Amino acid sequence: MNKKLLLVSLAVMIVICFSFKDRIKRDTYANHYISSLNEFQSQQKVLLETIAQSSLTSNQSIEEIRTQLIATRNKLKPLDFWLRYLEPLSYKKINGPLPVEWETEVFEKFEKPYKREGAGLTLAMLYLEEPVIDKQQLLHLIQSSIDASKVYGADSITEDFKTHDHFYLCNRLFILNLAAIYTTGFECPDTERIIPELNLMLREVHHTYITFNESFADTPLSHEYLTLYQKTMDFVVAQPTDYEKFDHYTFLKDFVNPLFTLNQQLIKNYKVVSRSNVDYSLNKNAASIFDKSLYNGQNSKGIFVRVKDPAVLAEIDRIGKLLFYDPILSGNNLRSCASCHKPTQYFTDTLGTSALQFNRKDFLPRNTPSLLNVEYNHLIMMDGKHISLQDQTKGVMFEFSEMGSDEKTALKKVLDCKEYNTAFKKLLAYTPQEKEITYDHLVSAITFYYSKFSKGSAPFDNTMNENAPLKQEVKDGFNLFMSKAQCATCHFVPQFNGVKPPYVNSEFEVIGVPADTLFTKLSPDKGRYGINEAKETLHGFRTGSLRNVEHTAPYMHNGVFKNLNQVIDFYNAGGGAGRGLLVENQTLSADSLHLTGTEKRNLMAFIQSLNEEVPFEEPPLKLPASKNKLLNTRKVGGEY
Amino acid sequence: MKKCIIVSLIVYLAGCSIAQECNAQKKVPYEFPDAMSEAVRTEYIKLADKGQVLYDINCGKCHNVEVKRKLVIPDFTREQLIGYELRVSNPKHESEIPETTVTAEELGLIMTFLNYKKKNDPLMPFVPKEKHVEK
Repeated sequence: MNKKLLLVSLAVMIVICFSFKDRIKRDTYANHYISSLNEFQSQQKVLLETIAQSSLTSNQSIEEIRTQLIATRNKLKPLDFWLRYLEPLSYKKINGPLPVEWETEVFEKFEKPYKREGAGLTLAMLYLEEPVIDKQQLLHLIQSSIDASKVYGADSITEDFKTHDHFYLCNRLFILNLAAIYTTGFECPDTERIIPELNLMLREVHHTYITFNESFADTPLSHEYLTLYQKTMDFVVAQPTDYEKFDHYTFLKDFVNPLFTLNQQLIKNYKVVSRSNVDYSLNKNAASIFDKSLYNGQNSKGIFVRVKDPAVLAEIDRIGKLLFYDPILSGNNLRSCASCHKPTQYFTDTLGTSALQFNRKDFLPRNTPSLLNVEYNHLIMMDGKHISLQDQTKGVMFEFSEMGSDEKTALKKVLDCKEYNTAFKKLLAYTPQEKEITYDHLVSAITFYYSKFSKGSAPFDNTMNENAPLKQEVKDGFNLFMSKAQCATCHFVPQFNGVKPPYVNSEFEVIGVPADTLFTKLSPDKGRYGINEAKETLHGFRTGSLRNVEHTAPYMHNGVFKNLNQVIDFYNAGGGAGRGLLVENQTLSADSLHLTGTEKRNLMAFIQSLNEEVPFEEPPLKLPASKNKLLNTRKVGGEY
Repeated sequence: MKKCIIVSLIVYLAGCSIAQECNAQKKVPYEFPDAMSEAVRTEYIKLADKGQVLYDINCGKCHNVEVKRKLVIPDFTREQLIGYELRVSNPKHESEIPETTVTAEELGLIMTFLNYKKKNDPLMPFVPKEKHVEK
């Protein structure tokens, strides 16, 4: 009897021991996070203390601070993987690119832009370079970084660590950041530290992976993933530590993008569920970073959003095309969308600096932007005035200096044409919330029509996706783009526009575009300031995509530069401020980039590799006939 | 045969009158604050009507509850009607109502509908049509 009891209790103890061991295993990953966070927080305090006690007068005292600042960044980097995903707003206060940012994130674009202050460690690093250092300001920056980091210990955040979901989504953002910002100096002003920090981060994340697999043995990172990751680390270790000599091209093509593909598969296999707005725009079905469905920018279908039937979509496309070329939408029946967005000229007007106004005498203040790839932006127009493609379409039609029409008249004129009327009546079945045909039906057909020209791929995409061959000069150009030429800190992979991971907002930059090529004065256009009156936004414009840019001259908001060489020279000289114009809030460094002739040519070769295959269509032969005979003389595409 | 027609006619007429009765009740399916002006109310009704159609298409299938064999739109709490955060607050929403299925504008209309929809009476659950007919 006694023996039995002993045996049973022994068995129970063994079970308890094992479950305890399991429990320990389960906690390895979460504990790793907590201890990394604690280490970072203690190091922040050391940094604060060092600054507080520093005289800031001697080189030695500044060097001491710099050493502690680097040590703090080194404690932050192991956490980057989590912090950027779990609470992106707080992360900006720890390590943001700018002291003040005006944000309009996709889910809140109905609201006014709001101000975010931050920068923390990045700005502290820059302050140390200044001739006179303001101690209070430095202390303030570090203190706000300390305050922001406290958020990450909250229960609401550590709660996520109970399941595997957050891990794969953190990892996705991490991989996207590897592609878009970690090798460009976007958040690391000390360019010598970029690759060393990258090395450190890759190593630390590897450690995180190991702890994760231990704690979540049912949903582990695959052997295939870990093997490729090991190769990635080996590749980076073997690379030069100078980011200008680093092989950004191979890193992205052979390592980062394939890692992304594997992680997306795991997200699907493990049925990962998001509980964060960070994932708002990202698409789980995109297999490559260079898949155009990577993130959802605009809804090109508008009111027809739920239509999936190819036959119905073809009908919307047919009607959209007719409307695109139909001057009936303008106040005088003489102008159509195609008047300025010329389909044969990549949906822009390459002949003039800007288009004629409605009055046929004056010219518009801004250059006509191409409609290609606009759907990959969250805000539309160079000043971000509109939040949707459909709003933008209406905006142009009802603007007296552009198409000079109004909603009521235009809708009546369109519906007086039998062909339009019949077609839209049939389409009404697909928008049951609307009792009658509205202007939204019209503009949705138009945006759906022109968006189909943005689905093509460029040689650079084909290399990334299908390993298509690419000339050496293009690769060299991409490496410059990502480093010395500093293009990639604003034109982000993969759309090469102002939308960076996690692709939830559009960025604006102040670069000091002149009014003329002699740089006598700054362009008077206030840009974003006209929409959001804040001193940081004065002369700010939304960063455009570089896709097809070779075909869309002239350049900049006012079309001041006639060719891309002028544009590259402009950036090479440090923008408007670099050319001696007074641009107090320029977000572009005023220093020269010191690009050589060969480097400029390589850069150009890379930009040319972003020219997409854009299908072209013949214009419609004739436009729908109207009850009003006078309207039946209108020309396809309009007259001016 | 004749009987059949007569019966079905009676049933049809009864159905009509009930439907009208329901309509009479349904005529004010919303509850607006008293302070809301008539003009604003008219606009809100238009928006809420659109929202109801969109709710039926996108949400009803999962959310409507069966009360005595009749599907009823539940009363959501203020906390549940949180706009864009809906997309991630419920794991199913992430795959079922991304922006490519329900746009932000449409989500707003659905919220308007649900916010002003008349609350269900907890003591008198909706009596299904069929029962009326039987009587």
